[in-house]
Amino acid sequence: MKFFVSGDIKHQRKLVLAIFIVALFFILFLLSDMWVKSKLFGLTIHDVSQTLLGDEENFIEPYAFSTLLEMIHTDLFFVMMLFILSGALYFRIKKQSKRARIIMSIILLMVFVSMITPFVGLHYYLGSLLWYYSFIIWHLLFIVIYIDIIVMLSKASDD
Amino acid sequence: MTKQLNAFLILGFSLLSLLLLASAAALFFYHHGIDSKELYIDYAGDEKAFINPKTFTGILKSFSPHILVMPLIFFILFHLAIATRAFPKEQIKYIAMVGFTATFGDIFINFIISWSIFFAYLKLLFFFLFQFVLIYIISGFFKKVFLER
Repeated sequence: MKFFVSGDIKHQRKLVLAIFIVALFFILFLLSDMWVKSKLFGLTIHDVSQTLLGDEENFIEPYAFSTLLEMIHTDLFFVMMLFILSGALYFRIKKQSKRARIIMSIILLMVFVSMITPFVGLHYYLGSLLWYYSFIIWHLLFIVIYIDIIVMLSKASDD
Repeated sequence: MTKQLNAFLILGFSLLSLLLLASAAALFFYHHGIDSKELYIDYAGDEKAFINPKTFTGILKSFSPHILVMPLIFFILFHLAIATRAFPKEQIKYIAMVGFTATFGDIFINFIISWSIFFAYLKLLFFFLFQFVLIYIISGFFKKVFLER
C-alpha cells in the first residue's frame, strides 16, 4: 500500500504497472456492474421504474424491498472500497487538481443519492429517476477517474 | 492541501460506512425484528407457526461474506483511527479489544442461536456493540476534523 503513504508514484515502474492493472480491473468491474444492473432492472428509465414499482397492466410485481436492500448493502461495501482506493490514488497523482476534487465530491454525492433513494423515495417515479441517473453518473465518473489515472501513468512512464 | 484531501477521503469513507451500518440494521430488523424472541424463532423454528429452523447452509451463506467484510471494515477504520490520532493511545487498545470481540461474536454466534434464547440476546448485544464501536470510531474522525481545526 505504498501509494497511500508516498506521493512518489510516477518514478516507480513496478508500482505503476500494478496500479495500471488494478485500474483496468476496476473499469471492468464498473462496466460489468452496469451490465448486470441493466439486465436486472432494464436499460431505460421506463424499464427501471416498471421493474421497481411494478405494472398492473403487464402483471409485473413490484421489486421486493428486502432484495433491493440486500443489493444496496452489498453494493455499499464495493463502493466504499472503490472510493477510498481511487480517491487515494487520484489525489496522490493529481495533487493540485481542482478537477479531481470536484469529481470525487460529485461521486460521493451521487453514491449517497443512489444508495439513499431506495430507502426514502423509490415508491415514486422521481425516486427511480434519481436512482437511475445517480447510478449512471457515479459509475461513469469512476471510469473517468481510472482512465485519467491510466493516461497520467502512461505519460509519466514515457518521460 | 494533502491533509485536506485525506480528511475528505476519510470523511467520505466514514459517511459511506454509516450508510452501510444503517443498511445492515435495516436488513437485520426487516428479517428478524428487534425482539430477541423473534430472532430466536427465526433460527430455531416454530412448529406451531409453521416456521422452519434455519439450515446450516443458510447460516453459512451469510457467514461467508461477513467473515471477510466485517473485519476488513473494522481494520480500515481502526487503522485510520491510529493514523489520524483521533483517540488517545490508552483508548485505542480498548477500542481494538471491544471491536474484535464484537466482530467475532456477531459473526460466530449465528451458529448457536438456535441452542437457547440466551444466545439471541447475546447476538443482539454483539450486533449493537459492533455498530456502536464503528460509530464511535467515526465520531472520532468527525470530532478531529471539525472541532479541532
